[in-house]
Amino acid sequence: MAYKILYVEDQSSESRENDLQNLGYIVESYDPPKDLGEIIAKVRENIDALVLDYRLTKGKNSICFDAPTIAQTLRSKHSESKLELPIILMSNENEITNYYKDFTSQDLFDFVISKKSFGDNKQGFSQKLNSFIQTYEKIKSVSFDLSELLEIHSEDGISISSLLCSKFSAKKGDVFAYSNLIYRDLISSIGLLIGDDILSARLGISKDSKDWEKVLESLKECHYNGVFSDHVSRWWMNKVDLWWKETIKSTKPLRYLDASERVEIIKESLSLDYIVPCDKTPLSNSSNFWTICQHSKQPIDPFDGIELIKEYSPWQEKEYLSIDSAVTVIENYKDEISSIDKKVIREFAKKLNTNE
Amino acid sequence: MNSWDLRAFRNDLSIFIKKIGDYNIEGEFSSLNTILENLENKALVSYKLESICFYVNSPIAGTFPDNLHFFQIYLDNMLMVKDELDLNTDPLYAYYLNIYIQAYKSQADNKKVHFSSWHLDKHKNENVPKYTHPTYHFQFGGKKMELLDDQLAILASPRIPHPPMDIFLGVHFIISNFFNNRQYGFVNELLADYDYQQIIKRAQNRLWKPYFKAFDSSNIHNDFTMNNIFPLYLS
Repeated sequence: MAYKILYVEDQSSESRENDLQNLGYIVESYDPPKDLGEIIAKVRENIDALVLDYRLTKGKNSICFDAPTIAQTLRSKHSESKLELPIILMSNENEITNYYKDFTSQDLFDFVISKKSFGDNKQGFSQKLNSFIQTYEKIKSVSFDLSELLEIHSEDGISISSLLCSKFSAKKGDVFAYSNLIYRDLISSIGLLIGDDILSARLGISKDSKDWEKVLESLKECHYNGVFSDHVSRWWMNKVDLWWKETIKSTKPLRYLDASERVEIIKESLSLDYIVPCDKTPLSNSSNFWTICQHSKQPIDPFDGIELIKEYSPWQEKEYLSIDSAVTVIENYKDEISSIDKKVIREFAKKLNTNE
Repeated sequence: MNSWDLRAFRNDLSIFIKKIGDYNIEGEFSSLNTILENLENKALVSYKLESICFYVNSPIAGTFPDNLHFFQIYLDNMLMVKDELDLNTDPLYAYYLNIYIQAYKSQADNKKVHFSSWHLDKHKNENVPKYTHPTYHFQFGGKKMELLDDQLAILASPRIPHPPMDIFLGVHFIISNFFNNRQYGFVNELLADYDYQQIIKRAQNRLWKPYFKAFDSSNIHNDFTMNNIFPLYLS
């Protein structure tokens, strides 16, 4: 069944309306009047998701509220107008994500997308939006049962920290907050779950290896199959550790070994010929890879990394840039890098320039 | 890269703080974050750590009185690296480390507090000492313990030779000495943790390796000599 989307934008949105229809949605574009209540009433008409433009005040009706205000009204816990549906913010602003970092947007929107990103990958947008709509449906249908949502079985041995559990318990009853917690704190963070790039870094195997798919096949029990797994590929790290012990039968933990050692052990254990170690970035020292550079996605050992300073929850691992990336993109990350690291990066940049 | 490289030290400290959280070590460690922030304004490794505190919520074998079941173990550590570093001189310009313990019957029954304290400091080899005075030495006692009990005497002697410890080695010392590894599962897990081991090994290379080389006949260190660090030994 096609999902129904309400696209609220104050400027002509015909082309986007067509785009969304072409993606298979039933789309209703809506030019909001001055009364916020009218929007709320419109949203109540069996809508599956709401897509908002944050610069609503530019429209012909000169309404005086913007996307956060609308979202706030719909999300407000004690409001009669509270509705549980994904709200997506779309905008012409390319810096939209940075702009909203200062806002309380994380508690309002399910995700934020620039119109350019939408235009570049419409299928990707659709897949993501559908994943959110389905997650909302599932949260309601399993009555907030976390094990069912994450597809955790008692024999999996997956333990979610008591702190995170209590955070989930506190959000029970609020579909958006629950979905948001799963998406931001589990799916989009490095911790209990890891993505394909980090999996490749931790196994030390280049994803370009001819037998990479065979390695993934061996790991299929470790794959995350819960909500959002149709949108992103994730792996349970503790199951990967278990696979390393029980299937690969290695006595030494992965972290202790460099990429070549890990690859040799896997090659022998799985009888694979065509897997090669990931390359070390030129300015790194270690190939005991454990994370990835957030810019280049290349594997690095955190001890070689430039830490991105931000608020991490206890269940999240820190994120890093490689020195190699930092030398070229320091400006994009300047607010997230310690001054000690900045000094070192500039010294590296100077050396590289002199050598050129 | 010298072993006192500020970037490596900062990165190690950041990862170390995360480890303390990951292993749910009970206590109050927020001043480690303050040190991390303060390092931002430094050109060299230099810090003054005040009162991080470990909680041991069970008896520590051999403690007297034997009804003490809750301990708060405080760690203070000040360390300043010299401007000019060379491999054959002591890298530290100023240094102390204090371990100060408050013991109670239990977490709830905390009316009567018992104290214990150890002090590790650096002796400036300026005058000829009146007693054997190893450059780095542990002493029992400290200012806070004086006059606690009129039957207890606190002496500055003996000064027991011990290599200097920074934040990492200080934490390592407390975890290894005060937490029963059979009762506290995190002890052996942490000691076997790769990241923890790497950080501790780097700290050992900075402070302990040159110190222990003093016992080697081929030692050419100017400060860490047998005579300075273990003057009791007659050669």
